[in-house]
Amino acid sequence: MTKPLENLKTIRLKAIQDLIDQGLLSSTRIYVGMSTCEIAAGSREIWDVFQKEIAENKIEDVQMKQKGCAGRCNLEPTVEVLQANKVPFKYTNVDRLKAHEIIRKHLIENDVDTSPRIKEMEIDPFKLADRSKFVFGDLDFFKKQLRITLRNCGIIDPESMDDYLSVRGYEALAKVLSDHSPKKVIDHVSKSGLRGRGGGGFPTGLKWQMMADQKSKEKYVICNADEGDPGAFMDRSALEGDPHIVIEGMAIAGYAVGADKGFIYIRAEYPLAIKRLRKAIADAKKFGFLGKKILGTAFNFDIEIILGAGAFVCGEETALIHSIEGARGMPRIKPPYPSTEGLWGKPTLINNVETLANIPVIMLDGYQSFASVGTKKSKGTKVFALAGKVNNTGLIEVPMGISLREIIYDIGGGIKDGKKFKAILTGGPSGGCLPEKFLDEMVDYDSLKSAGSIMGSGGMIVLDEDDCMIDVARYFLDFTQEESCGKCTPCREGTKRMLEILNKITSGKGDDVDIENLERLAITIKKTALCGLGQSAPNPVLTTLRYFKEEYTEHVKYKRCPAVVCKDIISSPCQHACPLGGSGAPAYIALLSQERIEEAIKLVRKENPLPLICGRVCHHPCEVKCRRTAIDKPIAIRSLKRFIADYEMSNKIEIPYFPQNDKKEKVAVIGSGPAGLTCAYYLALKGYKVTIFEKLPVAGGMLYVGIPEYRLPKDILNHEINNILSMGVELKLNTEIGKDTTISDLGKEFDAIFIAVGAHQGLKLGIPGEDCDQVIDAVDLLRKINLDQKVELGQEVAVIGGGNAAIDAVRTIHRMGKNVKLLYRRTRNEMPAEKEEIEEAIKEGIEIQYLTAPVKIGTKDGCLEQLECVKMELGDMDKSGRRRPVPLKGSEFTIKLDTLVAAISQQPKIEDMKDKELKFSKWNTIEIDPETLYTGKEGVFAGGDAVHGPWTVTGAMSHGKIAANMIDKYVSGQKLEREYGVTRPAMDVCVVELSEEEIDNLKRSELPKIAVSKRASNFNEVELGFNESQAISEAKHCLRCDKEE
Amino acid sequence: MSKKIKITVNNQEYQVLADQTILQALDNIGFRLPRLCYHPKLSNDGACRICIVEVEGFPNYVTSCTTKVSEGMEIKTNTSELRRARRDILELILDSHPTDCHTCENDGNCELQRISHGIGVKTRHFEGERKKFDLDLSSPSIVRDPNKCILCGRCVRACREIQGVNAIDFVGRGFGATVSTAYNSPINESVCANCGQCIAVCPTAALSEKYHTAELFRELSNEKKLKIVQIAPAVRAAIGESFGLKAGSAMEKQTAAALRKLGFDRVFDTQFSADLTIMEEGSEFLERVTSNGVLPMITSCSPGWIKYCEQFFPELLPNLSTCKSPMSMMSSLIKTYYAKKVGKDPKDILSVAVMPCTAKKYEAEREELKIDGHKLTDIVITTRELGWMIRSAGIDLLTIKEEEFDNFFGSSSGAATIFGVTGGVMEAALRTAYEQYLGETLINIEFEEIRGFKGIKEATVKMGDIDLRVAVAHGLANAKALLEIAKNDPQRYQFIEIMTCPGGCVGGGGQPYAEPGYLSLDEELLKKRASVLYNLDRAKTIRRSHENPEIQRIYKEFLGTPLSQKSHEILHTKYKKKLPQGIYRK
Amino acid sequence: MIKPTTETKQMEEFIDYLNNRYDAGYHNAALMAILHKAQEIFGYITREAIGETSKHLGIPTAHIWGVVTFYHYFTLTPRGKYVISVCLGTACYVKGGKRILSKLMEELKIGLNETTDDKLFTLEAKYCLGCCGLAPVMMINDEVYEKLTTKKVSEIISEIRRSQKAVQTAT
Repeated sequence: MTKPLENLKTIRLKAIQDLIDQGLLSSTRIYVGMSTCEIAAGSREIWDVFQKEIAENKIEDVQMKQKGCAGRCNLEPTVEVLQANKVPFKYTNVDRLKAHEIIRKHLIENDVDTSPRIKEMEIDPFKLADRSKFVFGDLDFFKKQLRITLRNCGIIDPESMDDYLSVRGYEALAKVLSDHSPKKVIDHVSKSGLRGRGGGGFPTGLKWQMMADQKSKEKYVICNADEGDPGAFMDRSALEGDPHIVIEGMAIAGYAVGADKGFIYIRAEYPLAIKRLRKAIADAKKFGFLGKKILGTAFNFDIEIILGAGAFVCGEETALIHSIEGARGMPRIKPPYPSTEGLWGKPTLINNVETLANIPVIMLDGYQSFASVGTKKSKGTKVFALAGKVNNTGLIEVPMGISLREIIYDIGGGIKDGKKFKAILTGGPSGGCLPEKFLDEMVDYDSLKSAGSIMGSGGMIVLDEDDCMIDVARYFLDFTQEESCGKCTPCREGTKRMLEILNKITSGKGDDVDIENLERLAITIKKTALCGLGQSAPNPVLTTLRYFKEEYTEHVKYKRCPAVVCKDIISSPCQHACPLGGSGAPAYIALLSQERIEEAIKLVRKENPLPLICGRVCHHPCEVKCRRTAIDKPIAIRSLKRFIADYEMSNKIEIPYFPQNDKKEKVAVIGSGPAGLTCAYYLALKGYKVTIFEKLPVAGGMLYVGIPEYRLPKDILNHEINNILSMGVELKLNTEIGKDTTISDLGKEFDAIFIAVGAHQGLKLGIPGEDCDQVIDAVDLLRKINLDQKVELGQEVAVIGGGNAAIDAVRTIHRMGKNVKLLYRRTRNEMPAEKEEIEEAIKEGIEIQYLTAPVKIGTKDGCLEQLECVKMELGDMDKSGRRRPVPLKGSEFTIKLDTLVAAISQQPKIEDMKDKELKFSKWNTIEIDPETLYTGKEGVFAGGDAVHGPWTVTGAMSHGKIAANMIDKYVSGQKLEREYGVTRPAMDVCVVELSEEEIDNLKRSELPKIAVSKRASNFNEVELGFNESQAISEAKHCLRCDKEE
Repeated sequence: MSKKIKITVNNQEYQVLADQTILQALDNIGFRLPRLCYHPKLSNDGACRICIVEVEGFPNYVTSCTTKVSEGMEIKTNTSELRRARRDILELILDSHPTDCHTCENDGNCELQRISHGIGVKTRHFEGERKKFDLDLSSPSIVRDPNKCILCGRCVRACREIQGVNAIDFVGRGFGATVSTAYNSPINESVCANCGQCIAVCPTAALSEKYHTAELFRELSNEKKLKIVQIAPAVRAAIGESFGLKAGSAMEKQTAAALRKLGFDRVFDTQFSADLTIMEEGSEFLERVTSNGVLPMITSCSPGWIKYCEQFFPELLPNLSTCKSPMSMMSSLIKTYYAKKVGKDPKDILSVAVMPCTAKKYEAEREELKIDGHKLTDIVITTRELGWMIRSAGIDLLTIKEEEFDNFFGSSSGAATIFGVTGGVMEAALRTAYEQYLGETLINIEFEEIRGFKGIKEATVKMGDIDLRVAVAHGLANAKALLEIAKNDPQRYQFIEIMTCPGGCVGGGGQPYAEPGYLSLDEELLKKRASVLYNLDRAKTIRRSHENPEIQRIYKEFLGTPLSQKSHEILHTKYKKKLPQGIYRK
Repeated sequence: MIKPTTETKQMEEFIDYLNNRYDAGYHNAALMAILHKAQEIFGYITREAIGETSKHLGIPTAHIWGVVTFYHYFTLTPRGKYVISVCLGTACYVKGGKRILSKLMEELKIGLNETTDDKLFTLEAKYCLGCCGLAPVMMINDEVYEKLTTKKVSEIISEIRRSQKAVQTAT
């Protein structure tokens, strides 16, 4: 054994002896997570509880230790209890109570279960080297991770030299000093394939070689710990969890390149990391790993800490050097590179924290082992701060070459709340947003770059459908603009202009030219800025322009923010999310909260001709986007609307409407569903004479025949329809187009026609045997029941599907006293039906079999006997962003059945109209110009299910509203075009501050419903609606985002 | 001779010198790329990005001012993408720049304007928020208009690298970055020496001199007043440049004629008082040498240097010659001796000085120089301002009939002429001191060792029994270096000349903007201006100050002898330490 | 003997630091550390501190000014030990954010963006701190105080004052 290694051995032995001498080797050790994130989660309080209770109970032989962050942010604070000869325990999300319990269990009553699982692992967590298996072994989160640089984080006490020594700390340095020439060190680093982890990915070995080649007496090593990307905290966690490894890496680097002085440039915003680094440097000096004659050799190396002061650009190496030199952190032109002219003009090696933390491992385990991990050109692992809309956020370390999908779904646990993935952003403000098609890309320097993003230092933010890509780009531009040093023109002036354009677009004031200018500016800045910060600043814009151009168009042309984010366009999210484009929700809710109910009624009526209906059966996208969801639950907007409409009805309040002057033109509306009724209402308001033609003997279309009575009572529906008829609209029932009359005939009598028929035709399952009489269709079934026609159902019924029709069918059948179950091929999360409906169905006792798909229908004598099914599992994502169900081989099973109801989808029956001039899609819908709803046949417009396929009530109503406008323009000879504007509050309602007393008394209102026990065998309305005080109280919960500036 | 290498520019091959930047190489082979932050006498920042070119093998455009040429380099200067990028960058500058060209002081002299025209921003694509700063009008010499600043940083570098004053630096960052003083103080409360070199290097009118032309025009129509003007030596060496003449054209008599046409009653020559300065300063020096006075003695005629000394080297104030500057000596005589002579109340005399210098405006305000509480020099205008006034008054300087200066204070020796160039004061002083000390005629009166543009010049002059050790510095950064040497080795020099501006007064901060193609601080330009003065000196029969008959007369009629009580009252002064104290990098 | 004012005491501490920690003319790497120290001692970067630093390191004041204004971490206005940011986003407003602010102004006897004479508190208002669910909220330094009432505010302020007094008497 050579001298430095012997010296290290002596140091180790002495350290252990010291511990024994001081009585510090206790048989019980309690590790408490004490990183910045753990402390924020409350671990300092836990630490105090332990200290206090240990002292109060006079428990001896216990040692309290801190540990760094293991990366699993949402399980913090974490505590581990290690006792000699006992199974180790770890606890997550520890609070005061839990801490107390831990002490009682482990230290006072000794009442510890032996967990067999950990026994199986056959490890000794007392040995620090084994601890990682114990800490990480059982969580999915860690399964695809590979921890090299973070291998000690969350394992050792970062403030303890003994802990670091026991995980072979400073052994790499000793090994290098004993028999490696500097040349050999560099050679090994080169062969390991390590590339700079700061983002650029320059080969580390090459950088070191360039430094070593410099014939200067003075050289410096700088550790770049100026991490500043929003959302990135890799360096902070690493330095807080394992500071010595960076010091060791720096010392080895110093030895290899011939430097005897090192600097760590770290953000002042990281006080804990700074504190730990200071202690680690002092300890390293004390133990002889830094300073003069290290480990008995001639090698000298010292480290000084320099604090940054809040300038992102100082992450750029020349700016960083200027900052250390006491100057403004402005980058300069390269070359000369720092390796030839760096700090004070001397050759300087700058490596980032993660790069340096890799060095001891490479030296210890050999470059071969390091190079065996990763892809061809990117070796080893990469640390990422995984944030955004994934279930498991935290710090992860993964082998290069892992796919983005694995990171998001296997490590991150998928997208939060079952939402749809939209983009992943790597490289922070210098990176780019990659869409779904890149999810299977390998994570390495080159493939990310070719996709338009960068590896970056390791920020990784997952975005979902609720994130607006323009807003994201704007956020990052805002950041880079704020952080631009101001030296070169393109970055200083250009990022400001880009931000201005983005602000214009996100406030709905942009036009096509703005998009062009934005792109042009982005390219100019990228090609001409002085430093990396400026050159990469346009990346978020360029990638969003490349992959999410349609979102720009939405903002610019249609003044819509599809993710309902951009404040100036959407005003309030609920209102913008409404397909009707101006529900007025925040305003009428505010009026209601101020008990101005009559004003609220007027407002509701102004924006919506069918509030009694929408208040009951709307799929309420408004509530989905309600800001209050982030806090607890969304405001019950639909129910508030219902309360207002019911109030109007029951109090017989007459809201006068003022139709415009009578016009002589006549308009025919085909179909009396929500689209037809809405169109008729708005046309009547404009003074047109409208006649509605309805094939059925009743009015209301799908509202009547598609929705069960228990959701939408018929008298309510009729009340609303009568409201519209009372405006002079004529209704002709039992009139079928194609049979009783034709479109062309109508064309002779009417000046314009609006086709708004529903989707009454159920789709076939497409499996063998479905042609027997006992296989029926959900729309058919519901129609018959709603029309009081006879239906024949067996006792054992199954419904197939996951949409609203399926739920409606299953709940209806259940009410008829049949045994009914629902079969769905995915899981509850993917069900397209409304969440409350599913919930109510389950409450009512309906069995839902998820991950079940029908395969074949078994018949006997032409009658249904059984259904053969197969179990499914969820595979990759499909185009809708949901995971694709895949049959599980060999999982087939059968269900005995009397009746099978298919509820998979519907179509309109347009062909019955027998009109050759209309064009149809392959889904049997009418083709129209989506802007104007014009069919191409003179005077004929179409909307609702007829053009969209099965749709929502408000969706259909939105078409009715547009059609009324377009028909008006058509008839009066104006150009058919729509005007798009940003969403604005329907009315300015002041904000009333709540008194403290009111706030105290404010309770969330639960929507009253009839008891489940009272629902059987009747079709009474389930939801009862709020009473007045409940409604007002609920309205007071509104956050008034419409007034947010 | 440096090695030659081959480069390709726009597909044509050229042989260029190795070890130069692309910009320099292109300049030498007939290309002239637009540039803003680049200045050949200052360090390179590569900040404005206007001089970008495309170089094969580089993913992004490179700035030609910071990139060295290399063998086989393939450069493109004019592709449409490049032109567009350059245009966009220029527009970005213009989007933050006022559009008031026609009312701007720098209209016609503005580099940004010239470059804009060349690059051609015809429509604005990115216009947005503009910056809004207050003007700094605190200084009698310099006006700062940060709204016009394009952050090229030339002024910061000139102030730091040429002058070592460091009065200004970049402040703030990003879009809000600006060039300002410490604590954003008014510049008059800073360590600024008022030299105006920042103005000379500024490509726009972000920095300009405080204009006194309006005031002067007003006063010139005041019938009651006797209007007297004096002009400094360096003015005649450069004023022609304001009228499109090549640098190096002497315009002495034309200027005198133009001044009369402007309405001045008397046109005097500061060179007269320069001769007077030599008489006083030479005598002071001999007295210090012979009676163990404070040495080395340092010249005191450059007002920027005086302020610099007060703030940066207060410990050297006793070393300063007590002589007022030639301008102030002249004005003192005008308001005392001459007033009496013509029977005028000094209040009814307008004393105007035309100077190559912005700091002279500050000097004119100094309390120390006042006599009986009255300002001596009422108005100081720079060469640039005079050029404008002549044009504005519709006078054609180029075809004007030459006229002489007025009597009394109009004649001067060749020694006084060379005051306008670095080393000139020293040379003039030596010519007189030598003869006065030894009483014999100096044969070779041209002191080559102290001529030329080396930053610090040293010489030893044998003067009978003593070896006179002298040194000359121009540019305050050089001055600082020289003074450090002198401080460390107090015996090394006996006499030091310091001029604030590079090249002396010919390179003054108030001289005409260099013609397109030249930049201020350019040695060729300075040499040409200096040659005017050296030629005028050589052309004169009287080349020694003490031989000037008017000088002899004023001593006889008014002052008595040099350093007499009278001359002390009128021609000498003392300076005091001034705050804020100047700090410089050690 | 006249008791030195806080300002002179702070200045003495700062000059002591300069003398002990860095020899005059020590390389400029000291500048960032000195500015951090100045901010620690004075609570912000004072003009006098810049002047002293300039003399000590031989760096022009304009240069130091340029550095100070470049880094956002350095502040040029006095700030209290406790910086209170009251959220005035709509959610907080509805829940009485303004009332909280008025209460704080009354308790601290300062206006918005001002610092108390004892340099203990600075009062600021923010648009939205992103804690609407906990409204009304304020932040004191890095800590969020949620669901505030005027009573709670008084308690929090007096608690800080109490602990501050305890520290002072202890030292």
